[in-house]
Amino acid sequence: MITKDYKQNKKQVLNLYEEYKKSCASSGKKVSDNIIDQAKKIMDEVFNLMIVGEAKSGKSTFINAYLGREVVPMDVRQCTSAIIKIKRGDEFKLVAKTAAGGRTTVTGYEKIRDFLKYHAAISDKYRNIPITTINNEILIKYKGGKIPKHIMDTFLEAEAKDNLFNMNLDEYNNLIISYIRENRDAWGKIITEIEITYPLPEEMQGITLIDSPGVGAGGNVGKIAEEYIKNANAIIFVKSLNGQALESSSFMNFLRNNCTDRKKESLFLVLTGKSNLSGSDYASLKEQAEAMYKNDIRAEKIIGVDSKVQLFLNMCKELGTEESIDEFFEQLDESDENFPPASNCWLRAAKKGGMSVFEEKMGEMSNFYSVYAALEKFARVANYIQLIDFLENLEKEYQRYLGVYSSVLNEAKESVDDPEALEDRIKTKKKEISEVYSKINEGINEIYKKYTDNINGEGVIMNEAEKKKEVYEEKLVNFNKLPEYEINDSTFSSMKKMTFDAIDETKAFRREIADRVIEECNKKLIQYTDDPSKIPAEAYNPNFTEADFENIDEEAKEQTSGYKDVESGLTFKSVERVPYHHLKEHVKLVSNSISDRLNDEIIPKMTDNVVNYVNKCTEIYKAQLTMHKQELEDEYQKLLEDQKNNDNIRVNIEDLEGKIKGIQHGLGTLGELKGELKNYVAE
Amino acid sequence: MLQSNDKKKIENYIDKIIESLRKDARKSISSGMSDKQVINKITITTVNKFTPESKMILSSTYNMLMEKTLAGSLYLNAENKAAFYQLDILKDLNSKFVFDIPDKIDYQESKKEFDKWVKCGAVVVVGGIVSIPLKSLTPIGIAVIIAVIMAIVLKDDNKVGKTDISAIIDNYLSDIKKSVFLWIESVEKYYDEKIAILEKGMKA
Repeated sequence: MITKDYKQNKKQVLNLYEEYKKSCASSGKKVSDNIIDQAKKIMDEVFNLMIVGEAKSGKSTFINAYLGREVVPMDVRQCTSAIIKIKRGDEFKLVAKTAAGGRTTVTGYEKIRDFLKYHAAISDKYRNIPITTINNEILIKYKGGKIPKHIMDTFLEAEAKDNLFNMNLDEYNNLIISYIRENRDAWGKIITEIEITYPLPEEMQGITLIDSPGVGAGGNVGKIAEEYIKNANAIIFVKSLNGQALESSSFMNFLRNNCTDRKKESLFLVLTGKSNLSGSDYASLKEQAEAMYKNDIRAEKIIGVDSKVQLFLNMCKELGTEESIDEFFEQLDESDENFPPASNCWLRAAKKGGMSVFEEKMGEMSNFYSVYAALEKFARVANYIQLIDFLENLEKEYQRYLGVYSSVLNEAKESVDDPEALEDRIKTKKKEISEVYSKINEGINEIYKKYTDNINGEGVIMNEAEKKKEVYEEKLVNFNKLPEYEINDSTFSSMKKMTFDAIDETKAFRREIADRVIEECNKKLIQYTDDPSKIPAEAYNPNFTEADFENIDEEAKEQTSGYKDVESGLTFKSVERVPYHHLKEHVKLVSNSISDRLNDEIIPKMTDNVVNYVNKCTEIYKAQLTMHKQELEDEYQKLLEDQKNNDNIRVNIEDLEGKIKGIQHGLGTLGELKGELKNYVAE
Repeated sequence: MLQSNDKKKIENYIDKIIESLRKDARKSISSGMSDKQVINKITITTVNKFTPESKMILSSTYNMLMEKTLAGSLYLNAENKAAFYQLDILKDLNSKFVFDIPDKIDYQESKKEFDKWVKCGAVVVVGGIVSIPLKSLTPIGIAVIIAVIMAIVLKDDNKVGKTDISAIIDNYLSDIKKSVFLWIESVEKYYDEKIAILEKGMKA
């Protein structure tokens, strides 16, 4: 059990980094670039929390309750195709971007509310049609130009499943057509993104909350929101316990269409309106939800909350004194706006201990603590791993210097009074360094050959990519075998998801191979230095950090490589919408198209991606090894230069002993915190 | 210098890739695709498959060259061997090329870029076969070269529709093979020059 939250742990880790920097400065050593990069990434860390949900699910209320401030006006209907990003800032400000590239800035609560109400909200006439999808896929795409008839027909056919309110289909289609006509010329004014800043508390620094437009029955969120989902650290799907049926298809379809298997891990289902139900009704609905979604989401990630209760609690906390809260509830009562769950709780708390009891009871009712705790436990895991990884890298750096200083100290002590013997010993050591360096390089080359050379080596990357292709081909064969009566919407969704999973796998695959390569290189290094009389492995050990991997990723993205295509899944755009005639034949066509692309595009691009990645990793590994070799040689050279003067050698010995003591202290504190964090993650 | 059996091994490997591409092309032709579609498809597939393969062929070539170098008596000396590894010729060679597959092949842009390389002598074209002398500091995009070879073939074969599509494909794949061989020769030459400089200051 950890008693601190992520922010506190992060602060402690960064303090240890400061200590490390100081010890490097006092030894005249440069802090390595990858350690600096990694620390910077931790400092600038951004946590994207995406909020999705059906229209009228209480999304805005939930967001305000979560933030502890009324940032999003709750009496404004769903915004059009706009994503709303909320972050901590100096003032309450809204910046809206339009499809044509325009920008509008508004400040102050009233003006922001009015802007959202009059410029960004959906009009009553069109609130039953999928505005987000129409804006993104038709209006913005065709920029006021002619929309081909076949595109319009396919679009209407596909959007029939988003007829949430079961309108007459002709009436529904006519509304879509009328909306398109009315807005075609004004496509450029469509708001695509809104950013709101608010003076939120310090703990919200680095967190961006992303409010997406409502999810349709088909689980669609629109192209823009899909992009954000890909980069979200956590996704909260808000679903109301009141009014909407628990089994409504939007959540399930959202899972199927928008969440690859890996994305599901960061998904949370929040059920709102808990206090409107009796305890037993709520428990039974929660149980139902857990049973219904058990294959996709862990029970601990399904959380019932009451946003309104939390909003009241936030308001009362802000009022501060018991007198002001009394007055507040009296005013509500007089204006007929009483909210019984909160006022009753206040009355009961007044008898039992006042504010602290009220806070505790309201907190239990709103259950927001569970949301924070679940996010801390599941969504922050990656951040905790990043902290642990950073501590491990600092530890390796300390150990490397410990290895270097200890071995030099050993030589100096052995021959402190015999300069000639010392010179000989240093020469022998230098030869040892060259030999070990060559052997390790030989080992690295062998490993690189094993993975990338298909003529002289095993060609591991190529073979494993082929195996992956075979697994996907087999899945396609199973789709082809389906009898016509078993083919439906979900067959195509599953085929699409399978291909997205295949694309998604590239990143995991290249990382898996790179990890294996580096592990094998490290093993070789230990093997060649496994002699207590020689310089220890730590002194050479290239410290390959998470920041190195990220730098390779970023460098690759900047180039016009296949990364973007492979990662974004553009490859399979053409099979997203299909006409529903001759289903079996169509499954065959789609599956052949997927098979072709697997063979001609996905797998070769995956191979290219992995080979380039592994190459970069080994290049960095070798460069670090060379750097460490030179550092070692320099330390011995220093000792060699001092060898004629006994006094200098003694000063050198003292200096080395001091450095070693400092390192041992650093390693001790680091180890403690690392152990604490590791235990927490393992829980 | 590559040994003749090493060269043979590389040739056999390239032949296998070329044959698999030819098979793909035949399949496309018999599926009823238009000539233009077949040409487009074979170019994209060749770019997608040959780009990673080139990087792996470079790895194979380097391994063969390195093995021969390190078998020399000079490298019995630990410091010489360390100097060889420190030079890291493979890294140098890798930096001379871009092995990334583009999101989309833009023929016009590729041709423009290619012409720039020709102008500054970074690549040389003789009869549809491209060679890369490795003197230039600009990294050469393998994908661009593979795509542009098709444009050269089409120009020489007097446009789509007039020449038999199978002949166009055969010419394209044959030019690709010859260009890959010239590329390997350049790699070999570059490596040998680097080794000669390194060995100049070495003591046995």
